[in-house]
Amino acid sequence: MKKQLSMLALAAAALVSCGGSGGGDTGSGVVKFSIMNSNNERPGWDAQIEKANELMKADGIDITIEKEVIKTDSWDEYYTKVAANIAGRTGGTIGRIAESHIPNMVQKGQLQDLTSIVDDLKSSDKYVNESFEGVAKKDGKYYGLPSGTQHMVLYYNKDIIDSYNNSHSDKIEYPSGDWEHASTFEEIAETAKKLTSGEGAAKKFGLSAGPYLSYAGMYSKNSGGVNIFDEAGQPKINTQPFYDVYSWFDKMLKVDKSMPNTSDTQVSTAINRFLSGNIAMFVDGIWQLHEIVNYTEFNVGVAAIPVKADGYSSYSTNFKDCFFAVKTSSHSKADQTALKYLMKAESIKALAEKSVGGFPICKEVQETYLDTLRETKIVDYVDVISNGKNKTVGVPYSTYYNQVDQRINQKMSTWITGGITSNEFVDFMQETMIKGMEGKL
Amino acid sequence: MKTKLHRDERIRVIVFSILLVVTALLSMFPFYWMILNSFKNPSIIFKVPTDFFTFNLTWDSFAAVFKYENGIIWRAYANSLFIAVTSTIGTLFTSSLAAFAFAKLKFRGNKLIYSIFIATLMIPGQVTLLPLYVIFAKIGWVNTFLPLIIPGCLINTYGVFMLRSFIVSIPDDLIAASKVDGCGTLRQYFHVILPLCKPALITLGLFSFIGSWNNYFGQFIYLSSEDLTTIPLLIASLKESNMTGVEWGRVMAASTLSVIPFAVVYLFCQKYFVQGIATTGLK
Repeated sequence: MKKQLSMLALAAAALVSCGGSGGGDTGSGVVKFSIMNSNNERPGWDAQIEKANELMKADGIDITIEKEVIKTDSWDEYYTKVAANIAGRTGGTIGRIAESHIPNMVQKGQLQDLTSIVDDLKSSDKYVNESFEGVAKKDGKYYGLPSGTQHMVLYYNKDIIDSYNNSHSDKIEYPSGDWEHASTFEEIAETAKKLTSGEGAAKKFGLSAGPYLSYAGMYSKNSGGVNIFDEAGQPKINTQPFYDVYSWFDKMLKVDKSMPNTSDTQVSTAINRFLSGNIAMFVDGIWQLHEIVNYTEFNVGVAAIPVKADGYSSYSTNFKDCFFAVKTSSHSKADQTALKYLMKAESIKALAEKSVGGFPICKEVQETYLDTLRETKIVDYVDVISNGKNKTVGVPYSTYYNQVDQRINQKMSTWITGGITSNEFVDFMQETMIKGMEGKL
Repeated sequence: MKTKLHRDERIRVIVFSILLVVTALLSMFPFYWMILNSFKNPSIIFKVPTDFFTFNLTWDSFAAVFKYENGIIWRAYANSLFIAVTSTIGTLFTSSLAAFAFAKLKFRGNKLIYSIFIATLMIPGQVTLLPLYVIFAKIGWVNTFLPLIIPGCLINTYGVFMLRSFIVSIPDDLIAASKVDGCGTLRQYFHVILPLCKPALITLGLFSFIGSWNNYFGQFIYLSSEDLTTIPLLIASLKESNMTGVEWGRVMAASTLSVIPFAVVYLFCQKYFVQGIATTGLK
């Protein structure tokens, strides 16, 4: 009898554990949501969380999402805190993180499988289904939900160009906003040279465009090349398109000196220099829009990413930061229910209304996001921004990518200061990528 | 001959003085820059050409810091002070006790234990970070001040090393004399060793206070709730994310406010601090 009772108790315990914690299929309780500290972005995330909570309450679900703000402005530090939380089973069980950290989190088994949520969202036909593909997918399973997509554009200070045109006979045209007929490398370099003036601390630069690995694929595609890897998955950095791109940078950095180098942007970042009217053209992501429309006193234009020559289409690097749920959570059902509600159109709309999070992946909300931009000084360029998302290249993040990126960044100053040529730097990028793939870094 | 020597000496003094002044100016410049920018109008911090001297000053950045999150700076100050003061007191007590034992008490294995103890200085903090975090999480210390106070109070190898170097130089005759007067080990510690260690204790106290006050990474890892915010975490909060630039005016104002406590402590204890550094032979 005793033995039978014990077996019964064991079976009951097993059944309970299979059901997980929380009430019913949705789970219950408080779900903590980790977000990075950003005073400008917090109103957006707050609105999305609030809306998701409201929707869950209306549906009779006993789950409340509470935010846990991780006080850092660096994704690396943010990940360190998330990793500590995962190891110690503390802190947020869901959160948002940069795409670059997802491959390592997946490989380390730190994330919950969110395939069922993705399948539901994809089958609803309300979402841009391609946005779910990428580094958050491994072996047919999805471990992240994109919180929005962000791509690169070329911002320019119209007042600086107008002022040049008023005082010079050789007129400068605004960079092209047509992604099929973007301005060429040569045109942008020429414009940058003309808009560069002054010396020393008073120097004004024509262009800022980071020659980083993350953006290299975009420029290579705009020169007829590949996005770092060929179809067989082999790195193809030491090819002519990359040599051409880095030779373009080389000329602007070393010959024309129309681009700030790493030491020029050490004290004041490129975005701050652009905001203060110290840089005329600036290639960066649409995540800078909030700052640019709110904190500039000059007129701003937005253009497509330059291409090698007429006839090449303009591509833009695309980033997809993701929502995730951690595997060590004791209430995975509640986590996944919370994520489902954060992904609902109404919640995403609440975020988009604050112009935060980039392009919404929910189709019906995309106009809301664009409408917020139409109320700003860049009203004439909303289509340029919108069209930029049509031809994008993702960054091929992997478990070794961040290490490769760091090594390349360390070597960058040697190239910029003249220690090696741009071709040698491109060769170094290729070698480093191969070493990274082989685990030799 | 004498005049030449006198002239050489004067030239040497002048050269040294110039070098010292230049070094002092270079050391002070970051503080000057921080304070100047905290008073500058935030919109002209990055003005080109840079204003190294300006009278166009404003309290705007300080006002923004005091208004931030309904004046959370006061709570951050209180929390940082609590962590720094308690861990400093604990460190001073346990480190001086251990240093006294290693320096003056004769017991088997003294040198071996001390060597092992000192060897732990070579283990980088990052190596033990995650295991410690998991342990503290298991005992429910995460999101409390305890992981930031207790480990430092229980063991501070650097403190023991520094104080032992000082206590070793105290003549054994003093200990012997106190024994003759009937002092036990604890009374020797409290009545002979501690009063003589004042400069070294103040030096270690300052190091410990500054280390604890500035321990951004530890506070970042262990503390999460708003109520437990500290000054370094507040400064990090005052920055915007990479995606939206940095509010340098507010960051500079908060940093200026954050150095006030140890600037005051240092001013009052400067004499002992210099003495402590000189007598322990440490920098």
